[in-house]
Amino acid sequence: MIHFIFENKLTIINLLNLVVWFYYYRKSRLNGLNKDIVKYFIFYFALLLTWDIMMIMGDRSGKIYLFFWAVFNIYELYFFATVLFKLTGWDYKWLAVIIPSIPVISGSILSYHSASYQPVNRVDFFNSLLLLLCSSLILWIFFVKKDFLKNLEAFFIFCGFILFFILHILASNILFFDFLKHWNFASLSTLIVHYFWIGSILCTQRIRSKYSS
Amino acid sequence: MYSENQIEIFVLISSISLAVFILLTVYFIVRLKLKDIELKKSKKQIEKHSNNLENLVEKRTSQLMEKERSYKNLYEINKGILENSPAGIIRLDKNFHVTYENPEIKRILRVAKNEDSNLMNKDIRKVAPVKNSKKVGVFDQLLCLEEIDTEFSIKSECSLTYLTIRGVPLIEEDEFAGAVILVNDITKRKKAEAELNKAFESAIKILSDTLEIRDAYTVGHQMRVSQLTAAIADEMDIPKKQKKGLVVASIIHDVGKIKVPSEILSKPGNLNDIEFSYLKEHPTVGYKLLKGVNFPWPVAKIVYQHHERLDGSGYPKGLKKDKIMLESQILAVADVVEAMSSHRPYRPSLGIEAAMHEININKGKLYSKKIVKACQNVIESGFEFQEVDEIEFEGETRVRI
Repeated sequence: MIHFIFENKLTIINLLNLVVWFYYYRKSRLNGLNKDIVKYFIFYFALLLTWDIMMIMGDRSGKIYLFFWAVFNIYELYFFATVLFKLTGWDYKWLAVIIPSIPVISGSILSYHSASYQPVNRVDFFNSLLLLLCSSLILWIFFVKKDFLKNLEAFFIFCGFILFFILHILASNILFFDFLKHWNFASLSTLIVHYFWIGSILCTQRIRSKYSS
Repeated sequence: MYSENQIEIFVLISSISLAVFILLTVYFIVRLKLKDIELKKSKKQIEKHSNNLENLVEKRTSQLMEKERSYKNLYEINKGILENSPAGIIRLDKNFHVTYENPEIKRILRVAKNEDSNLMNKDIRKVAPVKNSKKVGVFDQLLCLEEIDTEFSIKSECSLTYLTIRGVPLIEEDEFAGAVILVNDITKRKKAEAELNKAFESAIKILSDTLEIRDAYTVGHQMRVSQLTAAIADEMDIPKKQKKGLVVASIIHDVGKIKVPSEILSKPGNLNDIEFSYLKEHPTVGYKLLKGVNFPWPVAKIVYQHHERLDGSGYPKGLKKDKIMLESQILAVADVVEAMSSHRPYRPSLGIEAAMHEININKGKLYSKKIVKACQNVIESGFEFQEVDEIEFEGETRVRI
C-alpha cells in the first residue's frame, strides 16, 4: 500500500488538488477572469489526472505518454494564451496557440518514431521557457496593473506555475544534457508545486476572510 | 544505508517543507502588496479629501471675498446716504453714547446753537434732555424697546430752532443694544405753518366781521360762543382736532345770516312767521357758503346742524339725537347760553342764571344732558365771557383773530 502511495504520489496529490480546487471553486464567490482562471486550472488538474490514470492503466505506455504530453502541452499553451490575451486585450490567441503547438506535435511524433524522449525533452525545455515568460508577464500584470485582491487565486496559481517552470527548466536542462538518472528531480519539482497549490487554498481563504470586511 | 521508504519519506518531508517555505514567502509578499494597496487607497482618499477641502476652502474664500465686496459696496452706498442725508443721523450704543454722527447733525446743531458741537462719545440724554408730556426723558423710552417720535426746540440768543426726533431701538437677543436717531430741522416748516395759520385766521376773521357789519347788535356773539364751546370742549375732554373744528365753526356759525335782511336781524320785538322763516334759513345758507371751503374739519356740517334739537324740534332738518353731530350739540348749548345772557335788539340781557335755567329744564329733551352738565361745570367754575379779540385756538398756540 505504502509502496503504491509512494509510486503514485503525484497522481494522488493531483486528485487532491482537483478535489480541493473544485470544492473551493463551488463554494467561493469568484468572478470575472479570476473565475475563468480557476476553471481552466481545475481542468488542468483533470487533464493531468486523466494522463496519470491513463498511464497507470496503459502500463506506462510511451504512446500514451506522448499523446497526453502533446495534448497537455497544447492545453497549457491555450490556457496561458487565453489568460494573457484577456489581460492585454490582444486578439491573436489562436495564432499564439497554433504556432508553439507545431513543435509540440512535431516533438511528440519525432519522439515516437525515434523511440527517444530527447525531442520532447527539448521541446519541453523551450516550452517551459516560453510559459515561464508568459507566467511572469501575467503575474506582473496582476501584481502591478489589475485589481490585486480580486484576482488573488489567479495570482497564487501563476506563482505556482512560475515555480513549476523554474524547477522544470532546471530539470529539463539536466535532462537536456542527458542526465537521465536525475529524472526524480523533475517529478520532485512537480510535487513541490502541487503542495504549493494546495497550500494556496488556505492562504487565499485566510486573506479573503481578512479583507472581506 | 537508508531504505527506499526512508528516502521517500525524507523526500516527501523536504518537498513539503520547501513548498511551505515558498508558499509562506508568496503569502507575505501578497500581504505586503495588499498593505501597499491599502496605503495607496488611503493616500488616494486623503488626497481626494485634501483636494475637496482645498476646493471647499477656495470656494468659501471666493464666496467670502464676494460678500466682502458686496458689503463694501453696501457700506459705500450707506456712507453716501448717511453723509448726504437731509436728516441728522446719530447712532447710539447701549449706554446712549453717540458712536456716529453725520455731517447734517453737526450743521443742525451749529445753526441751532451758533457754535460747533461734537456729540461723539457723549451721553445723548445729557446733551439733549428732551422730556415728553409726562416729564419722562424721551430717550429712556428706547430702553423699553419703543420707538420715539417727538418735537422739541432749541433756543439760542438769536434764534429758535424746531427739531423732530425719531428714534428706533436696535435689538440684540431681545435686549436694547443701541439706537439710530433721526433729527430733522423743521424750523422752516413751522414758520410756514404759522404763516398759513395767519392767512387762515384772517379769512375766518373776514367772514366773522362781514356778518357783524350787517348785524351790529350781535357784535362779538360768535366770538363769545367760541369761548364757551372751547371751555365746554375742554371740560368734556374732546380731542384737540375736534375741538379746533368746533371753535372755528363757532366763530362763523352765524355766517348764513348774511342773507337775512338786516331789518329782520335788528328788528326790536318778536318776529312774525315770515320773518322767522327767513331767519331759519341761515344754517342752510351758512352750509352752502362753507361747504366749498376745504377745511380739515366738518365746519360746514357743524354750522348746518347748530339749530337742531335732540327731540327733532330744531331746524333746518329736524334731526334727532345721534343724528346731530356732537360739535353741533355743544355749539347749540353755547349759542343759547350766550344769546340769553347778552343784550338783543328786541330784549335786554336775561342773565346767565336764566340761560342756565333754560338749558337745564330742557336737558335730555332739547340739549344733551352731558353737554349741559359740562356747561354748568364751566359756568360754576367761574367762566366769564371776555371782550377780547384773542382766543385759545389749540394747545399752547395763541392765535390772534
